[in-house]
Amino acid sequence: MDLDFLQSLMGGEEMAAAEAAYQDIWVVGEVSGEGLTPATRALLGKARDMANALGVYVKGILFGAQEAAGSEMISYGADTVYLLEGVGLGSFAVEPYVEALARQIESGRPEIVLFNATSFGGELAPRLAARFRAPLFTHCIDLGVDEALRALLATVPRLGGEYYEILVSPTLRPQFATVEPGVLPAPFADPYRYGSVEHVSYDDLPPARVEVLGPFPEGLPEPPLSRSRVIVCVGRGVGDEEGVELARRLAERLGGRLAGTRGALDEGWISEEQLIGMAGQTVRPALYIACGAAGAIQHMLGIARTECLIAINTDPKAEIFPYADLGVVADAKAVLEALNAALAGGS
Amino acid sequence: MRIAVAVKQILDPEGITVNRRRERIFINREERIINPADKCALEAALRLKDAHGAEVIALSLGRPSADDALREALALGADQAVLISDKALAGIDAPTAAVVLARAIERLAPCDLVLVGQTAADTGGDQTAGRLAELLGLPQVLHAVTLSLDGERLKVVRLWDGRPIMVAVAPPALIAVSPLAPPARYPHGARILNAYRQMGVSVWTAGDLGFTAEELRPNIESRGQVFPPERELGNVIEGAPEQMAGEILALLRQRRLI
Ligand SMILES: Cc1cc2nc3c(=O)[nH]c(=O)nc-3n(C[C@H](O)[C@H](O)[C@H](O)COP(=O)(O)OP(=O)(O)OC[C@H]3O[C@@H](n4cnc5c(N)ncnc54)[C@H](O)[C@@H]3O)c2cc1C
Repeated sequence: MDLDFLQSLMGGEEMAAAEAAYQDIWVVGEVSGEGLTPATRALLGKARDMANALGVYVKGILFGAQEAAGSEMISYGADTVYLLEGVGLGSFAVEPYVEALARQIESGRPEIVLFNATSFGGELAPRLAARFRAPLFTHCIDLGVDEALRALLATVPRLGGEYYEILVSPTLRPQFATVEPGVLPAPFADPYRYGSVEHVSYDDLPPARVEVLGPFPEGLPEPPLSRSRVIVCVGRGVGDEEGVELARRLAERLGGRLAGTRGALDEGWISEEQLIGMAGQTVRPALYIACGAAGAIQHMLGIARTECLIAINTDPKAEIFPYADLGVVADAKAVLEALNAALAGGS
Repeated sequence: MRIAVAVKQILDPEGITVNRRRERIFINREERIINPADKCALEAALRLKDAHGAEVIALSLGRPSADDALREALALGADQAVLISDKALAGIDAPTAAVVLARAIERLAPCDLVLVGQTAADTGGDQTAGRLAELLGLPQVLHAVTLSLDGERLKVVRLWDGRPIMVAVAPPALIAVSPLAPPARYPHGARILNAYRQMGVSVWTAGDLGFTAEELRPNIESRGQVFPPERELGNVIEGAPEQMAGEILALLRQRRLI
């Protein structure tokens, strides 16, 4: 008789029993002025797909008596929403929030708990994962499930997103993940979906130990250009100050920064710190929009690691075009104006 | 004040090339550096030491080569260095690494502050700080950019979803320092020599910290790598400005840049 085999069989059964105790996918939501944040909605859509694959429920978690946002969670895919209430859960503080969520997780035993990879999610998820000695996958760009293992498949960025790795924890439960806002597709809301919103109240939560004194009064020095995700670059071809202003506005709209070429520096449109290239800064943004920049090699050296380069230049033979993901033969100012107008229109 | 700073040694990302078409990762230059955010954490500790006096203990979990990272910390101004290194720790996963670090920090007790870097530049890991705070029972301030002592409390400017806010916390506390915080100083030449000739790095094994190999076995597996599509360059279009703007926005949406 193969004792090892028997033992592994029994161990396997025990494990299956323990696993069965953990089920459902939870989404810890965030609310902004107009209801659920777009990232929370997208997370619910993803959770719904995974729950369908596993044959389990999606449960939403919100802090405070947020009934409207609770119903919204149901329309995006939750079956049940828990509104966690209690002294200390009014405005965000790590200790009471972690404690309330930990108690909820202990009693509800979810197999997967999802957060947005925002500051809110980033404060809570690691502490909870540590408390349950559970895996946590941070800044995921995609999620899936291994149905055979009933395990979460998490796609996480490596080397700042140069490539991705798919990670799985076959046995540890619950599994935690934070998902990068803006990477999951927006789901459709179904206002007729049925679900329940339940109030759960917690007393005797621990007090916050960090006091928020308010926004930093003087404002911080801006982070270096080398950290910017989006850069709008002006070259001499942007024409004049007005063109530079249009580029600055576009950068702002895209949450990015203005930079420029040597040509722009010589025109006095940008400062020394904004110069990109051999004599200036080396950057690696996700998006670089070059407006009226020739594409001189000394400039291009500074942007070799750009993820997506868009170049606007009137000269169809401009040196920059072969480097660009998209080259646009047009007047830079006119295109900037149209871009700003389109983005201001909210589309 | 006694400050423990955790530093991780990583392969310099600048020496690594990712070839998307061939779906391979090439290490061109095997240079090991202190993870940039951890180096900012070290600098934050040294600034507190400069201003108020403090004992700074650098701590690293890693392979024997992490000795260099700790010598660098000593050269920059740390007073003591501890390397947690053991064959049993190879391939350790994030949940367990935090448990090991927490036990090492407990062994260094009492520490008024535990400083760590917010994120790891290689794995993108963004959880050790919160895990350590929980395991050590400490309050946490994440994404810190500047720290100053104000009486009994520490005032910290931190980023919340990228926007700066000011918070206060009384030690003992854990502070995770953002890679956007002030970068580290340059070491003094004489201190570099000193760090190798006169100062020591204590080495702790898994056994010293009371762990068995079984407890350290990784529970997280890789199912392989995914490479973003290779860029296709040189696509040039021409047309009216509004139409061109439309094409640009379509590309941005497709690449999920807006
Ligand atoms: C040692 C050395 C170091 C250097 N280092 C740097 C550096 O770090 N960074 C840097 O940028 N340069 C550097 N240069 C300078 C570099 O060689 C180029 O001269 C400079 O980048 C050109 O800037 P530009 O593209 O703005 O201007 P220009 O070369 O004048 O190009 C203007 C472009 O705008 C286009 N254009 C004109 N009108 C329009 C319009 N209405 N709409 C759209 N496009 C239009 C033109 O077709 C042209 O391609 C360096 C040079 C040397 C010798």
